[in-house]
Amino acid sequence: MIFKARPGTILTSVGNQFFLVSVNKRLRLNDTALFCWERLSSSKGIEDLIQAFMDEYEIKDAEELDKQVRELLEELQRGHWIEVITE
Amino acid sequence: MMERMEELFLDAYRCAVNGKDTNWQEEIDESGWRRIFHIAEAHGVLPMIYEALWNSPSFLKLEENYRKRIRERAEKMMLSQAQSTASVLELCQYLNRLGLHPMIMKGMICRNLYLHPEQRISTDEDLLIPQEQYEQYHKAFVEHGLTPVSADTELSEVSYQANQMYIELHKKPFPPESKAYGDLNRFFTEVESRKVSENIYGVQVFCMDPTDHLLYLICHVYKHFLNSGTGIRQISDIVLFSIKHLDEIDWELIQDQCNEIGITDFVSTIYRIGEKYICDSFPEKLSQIWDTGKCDEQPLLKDILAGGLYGTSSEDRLHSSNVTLRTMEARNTGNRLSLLGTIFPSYEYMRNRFSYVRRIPLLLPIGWLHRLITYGMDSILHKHTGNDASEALRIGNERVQLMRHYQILEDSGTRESLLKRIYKRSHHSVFAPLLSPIFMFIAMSEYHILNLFWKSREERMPTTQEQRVVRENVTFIAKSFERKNLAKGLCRNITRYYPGARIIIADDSREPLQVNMNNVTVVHLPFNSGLSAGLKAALEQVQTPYVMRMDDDELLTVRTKVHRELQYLQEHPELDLIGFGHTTAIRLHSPMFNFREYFRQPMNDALKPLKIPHMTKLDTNHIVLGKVANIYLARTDKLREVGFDENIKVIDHHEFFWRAAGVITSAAALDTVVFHRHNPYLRKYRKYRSDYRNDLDYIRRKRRKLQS
Repeated sequence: MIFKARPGTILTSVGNQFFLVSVNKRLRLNDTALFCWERLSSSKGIEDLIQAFMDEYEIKDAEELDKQVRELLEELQRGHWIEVITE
Repeated sequence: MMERMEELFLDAYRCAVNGKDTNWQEEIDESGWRRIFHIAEAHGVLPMIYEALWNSPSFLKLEENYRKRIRERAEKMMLSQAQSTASVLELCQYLNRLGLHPMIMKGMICRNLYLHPEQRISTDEDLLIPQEQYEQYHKAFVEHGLTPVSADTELSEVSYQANQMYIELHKKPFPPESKAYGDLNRFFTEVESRKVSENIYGVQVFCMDPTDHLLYLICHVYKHFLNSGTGIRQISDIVLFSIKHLDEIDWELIQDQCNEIGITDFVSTIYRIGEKYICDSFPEKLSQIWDTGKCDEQPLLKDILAGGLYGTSSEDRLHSSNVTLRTMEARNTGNRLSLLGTIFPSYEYMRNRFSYVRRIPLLLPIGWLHRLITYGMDSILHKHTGNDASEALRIGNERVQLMRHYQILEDSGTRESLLKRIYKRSHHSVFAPLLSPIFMFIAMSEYHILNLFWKSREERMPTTQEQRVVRENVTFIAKSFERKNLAKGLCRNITRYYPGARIIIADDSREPLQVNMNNVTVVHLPFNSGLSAGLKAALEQVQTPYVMRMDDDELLTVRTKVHRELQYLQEHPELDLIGFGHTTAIRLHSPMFNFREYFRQPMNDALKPLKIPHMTKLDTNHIVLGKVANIYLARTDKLREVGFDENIKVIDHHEFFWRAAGVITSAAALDTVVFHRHNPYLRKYRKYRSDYRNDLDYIRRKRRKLQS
């Protein structure tokens, strides 16, 4: 699956707080969600995302990471923050 | 002088714009912080200021609860802005699906200039639409859940709101009914045909092209400056927009239009503030264009800091707009300011203050009474806080002085500007046909007196030998339109100085020009063929190696010395064109005064660099310039190489030298003088001469094509 940030969804920040904002809703981002969102400004597959996390955070346990990234993507998808552009 | 907290505010703002932390170390007490955040709130830039401060040692010394309150306020403002942006983007997507593409003015387009767009707060979003499509937009807005704020949809601006957004739908960029700035709409008649698109958060939105948009931003600041004031954010919008689109903007056009409005000093000062207080890396090109080194920015900066966003910092200031607006109206309409007008302001002023007057104009007298009672009550209740009518009057008068300081208003205290005003108004008066012969009488008297004066200083007519050389080598060409007497006068004048010299007049008047002189050829063209078509046709008939280009309202003087400049051209093969100095009736500025305009135009924006650098001194009397006045002696073959563009009817001047740069080398002969007798009372001529919008559009399109 390829994911991409949904058009019209806004990533914004003030001070050290980051937020995703869309019509009628907002989401305060933690570091990993922010990292994930920033990568999705251009479309990415789940494998590319996992690899990006492994490189950024020097993670060895790919299996655990795979689970966490899928959960994060599901949460972002549930909130309509991202869209699946191809199956 | 600025107070310390104002300086700190500006420093924090500069850091925010440039993506830096303030890193302040100094101790600031709570009242100081309150002052800084008060200014930030008044200017609608609290999130930006917080962004620059949140990690600075000084700020971290503040009590945690206070810092938390500021953070929460900044977050709230920013999130509410972001939600408004998201809602407007959703609206744009919806409109795009319906085939409606409004142009976003400032707002979102300006937010996108900042590092953190949503920290730049807008009070609303302004959309410009073609007036005839209003009904379609209204229907679409209502279907999308927006409701009009007022039932009066006949206004030029109709506001709509929904939960998270407030939209102002503009049928015209500025309210046409305003006597102070309604006529600014004349600059935006064709914007729809030039609109461009931008991608914002993945959504395609439309806006004016960069030149139009910058002019709109400038005019918008000007509009608010005439009302109650303008904020620092509007200044940074203009400066950042200019930097982003530096190479796309037609700067000459912007300058011309600012000059026409009379706000060149004001705009230069805006850029000066940007250079000194907002941008860390301010482009040299902008400094040169606006000559920012000469600006006195302190009075405007003081007004900006005191006024807050749109000058809304206090009720007094808002009321002071009655004084400033009425002063501008008086300037634009030529009417005098009166006490009655101050007590009973115009409908335009009242409709913005009292909604019931806007809805029912017949209630204007009730509005006046309401206003007088409110003022009276304010004066009694707020006597000690300064919130009263006299304070509004004081602020208004101070701001009128500020408008004079930046030359938006002429200094009415001087005799010269009063005369100038009367002179300008007389051009359009019913007496213009009577004033025309009087003007010509004065102009010709000046011409003869000047010539006599110069002759007394040992200037002389050309000798027979000099006349022969000019006759054999030079053809005089001029274009004439609806000024038969002037054209005939020019032919007689040239023949008197250089008997037998060949003259070619291209004429496109409604009734063809007839000149019964053996040395004169008249090339007849269809009515209103335009300046360039005429010059092209005249140039085609030239058979001499040199050509002297003049206008039909000019006259040679004993100081023109075409023969001497011809010899100079013959001796200097590196030069192709020599421009002459001129003095214009009735004011008779010296030729050097007029040359200064060209000293400031190095033609850096031309297609090719100059062969010899601008301002290179060739001798005590000749200097290389990128552009000279349209009175020049040139090599015929080189002039043909550059040519004239027939599509340009009126304003060929800059376009010609823009193309000529790098092809021919121009110089100015500093001690020469041609007499210019431009008669402003010729209505028929003026009507066609002032219609140059199509030329501007054509030149812009042509430039873009050539540059790309």
